Amino acid sequence: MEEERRFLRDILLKSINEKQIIILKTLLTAGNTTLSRLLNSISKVHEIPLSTLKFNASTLTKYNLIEFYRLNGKRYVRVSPLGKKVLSWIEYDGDEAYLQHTDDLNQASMEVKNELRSILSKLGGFHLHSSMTCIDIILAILYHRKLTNRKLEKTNLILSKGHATPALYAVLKGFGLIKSRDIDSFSQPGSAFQTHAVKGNPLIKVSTGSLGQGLSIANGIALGMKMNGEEDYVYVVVGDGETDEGQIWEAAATASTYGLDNIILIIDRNGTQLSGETEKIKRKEPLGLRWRSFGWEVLEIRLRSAADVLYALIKADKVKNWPKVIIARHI
Amino acid sequence: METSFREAFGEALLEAGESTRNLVVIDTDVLNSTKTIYFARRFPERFIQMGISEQDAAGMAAGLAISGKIPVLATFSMFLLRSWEQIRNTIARDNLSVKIVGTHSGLSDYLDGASHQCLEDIALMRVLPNMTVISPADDISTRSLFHQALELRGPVYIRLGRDNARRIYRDYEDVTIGKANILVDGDDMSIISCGAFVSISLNVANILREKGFRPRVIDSHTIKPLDTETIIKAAREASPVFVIEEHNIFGGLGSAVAEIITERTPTHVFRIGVPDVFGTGGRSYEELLRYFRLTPPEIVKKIEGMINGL
Repeated sequence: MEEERRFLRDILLKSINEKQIIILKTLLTAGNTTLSRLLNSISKVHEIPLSTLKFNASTLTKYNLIEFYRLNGKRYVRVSPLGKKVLSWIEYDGDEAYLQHTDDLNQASMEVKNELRSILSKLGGFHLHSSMTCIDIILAILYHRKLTNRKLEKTNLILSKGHATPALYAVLKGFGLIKSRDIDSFSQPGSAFQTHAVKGNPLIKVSTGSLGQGLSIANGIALGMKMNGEEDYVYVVVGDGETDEGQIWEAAATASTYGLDNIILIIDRNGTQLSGETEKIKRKEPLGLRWRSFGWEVLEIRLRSAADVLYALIKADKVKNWPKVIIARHI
Repeated sequence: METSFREAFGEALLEAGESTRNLVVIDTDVLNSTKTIYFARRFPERFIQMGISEQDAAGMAAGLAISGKIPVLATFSMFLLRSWEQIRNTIARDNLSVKIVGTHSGLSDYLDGASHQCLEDIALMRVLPNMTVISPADDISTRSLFHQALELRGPVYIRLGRDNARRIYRDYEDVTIGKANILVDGDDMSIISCGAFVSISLNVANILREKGFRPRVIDSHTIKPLDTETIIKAAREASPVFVIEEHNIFGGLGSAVAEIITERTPTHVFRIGVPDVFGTGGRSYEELLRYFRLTPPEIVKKIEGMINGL
């Protein structure tokens, strides 16, 4: 099986070039995009001349590896089913599960983002940016659980950046775990749907809102679960600004001391905190090295869509013995 | 008989370890001082060493409680306050069954000085919703109240001294959370106290009796919820009221007692404790008591002065 896979991969690599792979990979997780926007961004990031990319894109179109579709009057491009198959053999060891879900995820992402905008419109956009940058992370976590047949209701999700709780409400609604009328009371006195997470709502196991504390709590849950012989993950979503807090690093050392490989930490590396750019306020970089030096398995990804996070989660699933951090970079 | 708060706690923890299988102990590198070391040796798989990180330890305790454990978080009361905000925002807010044990409170850590002497913890803990606050007077009540605290749902703060626990009680049954104990009955004044100062209060009462007074002495080991019935009764039957405590006079038991008496049955309440200053190092506990004029004869002098001023 292993040999077959390698053979197929080698043949495919002879007929498809590196630039075409870059286009396919980028497009896969790019969400709704037009061809010209896609190629422009690839050209900038990878420093490849636009004309070269255009030529390769037309080859991909000719072989039906990418296809066009219309939405809201615009002509968007996406990876075709055949393209996904090809890509899965080249890049992901034939693991098609992930690739099959990108369209679904992109659609869901659009819906929950609209929901989030509508929730926050009541408050003139309370922490909108912060919710918006981590909504794909939350979405991907729940999606990954669905994919791996783990119970959604039992998700141990600690939203350490508690001010992004509206993003969680939007996703919960998307998964049918709460109803429209639940959210109607959002941010009102006594409502269970506060701006910052309060224990008792679906998936909210612990109240948050004060920054830098979620990982310590998650460690406690993860260690307790190990003692109880329960096998499941504890997911923690942390903002990059939060890593200013010393407690995060106390907790980072604790997780590696106890080998908590049931912890998946995702850092929403959006580059901003309340009063400006993260690097100007307090240096965070090299963020990956910092975590690695604390004994963590580090997966750095570029977050363009929920699918990017999903694939990182699939990868993280395979790592044993170490706590895992996914650094989701927005730029 | 001289006993030790921390030894009593260490032994109570061992007993509880046998009977309560989901009990876990969290330490911040002070197991030798808090005597959680006995538990650590017997139940290493349920002993969690956090290193010198109190804030992280509070979060760990919260998480373990969420996963169904009964965590005992034990460290110096002074350094627990470093995690006050974590205790407030997670343990108290979510009403988690974490048992927080602050050792070396008050002046009991005499040699280490102001940085280690915690005179503020009662104030900071009793202001938290959901929190039960207990300050046992001796070794017997330490053991008894600790076991009772494990049975309570929700967070409990247990304030312990280091050693210097003169024995007052005979049986575990003598103390019950939420019920103040009248140790000496009397009708011309009330002395209310908690922790190691209950024994000092008993000595104060002895001297006062020799002088012809008839003081009522109350051990209000549970500061929250306060036994208001016993305290209001004392204010009505044996006024004025003196509260003697090993704490800053602001915010402690004296304040709690004054709050309730002022509202329900106004009479004079005098607070005797550490007068809004920080601690200081000394070579013995007794030396510090002398320095702060908190020995029984000095307290009697204060009480006489206060009565004369009425």
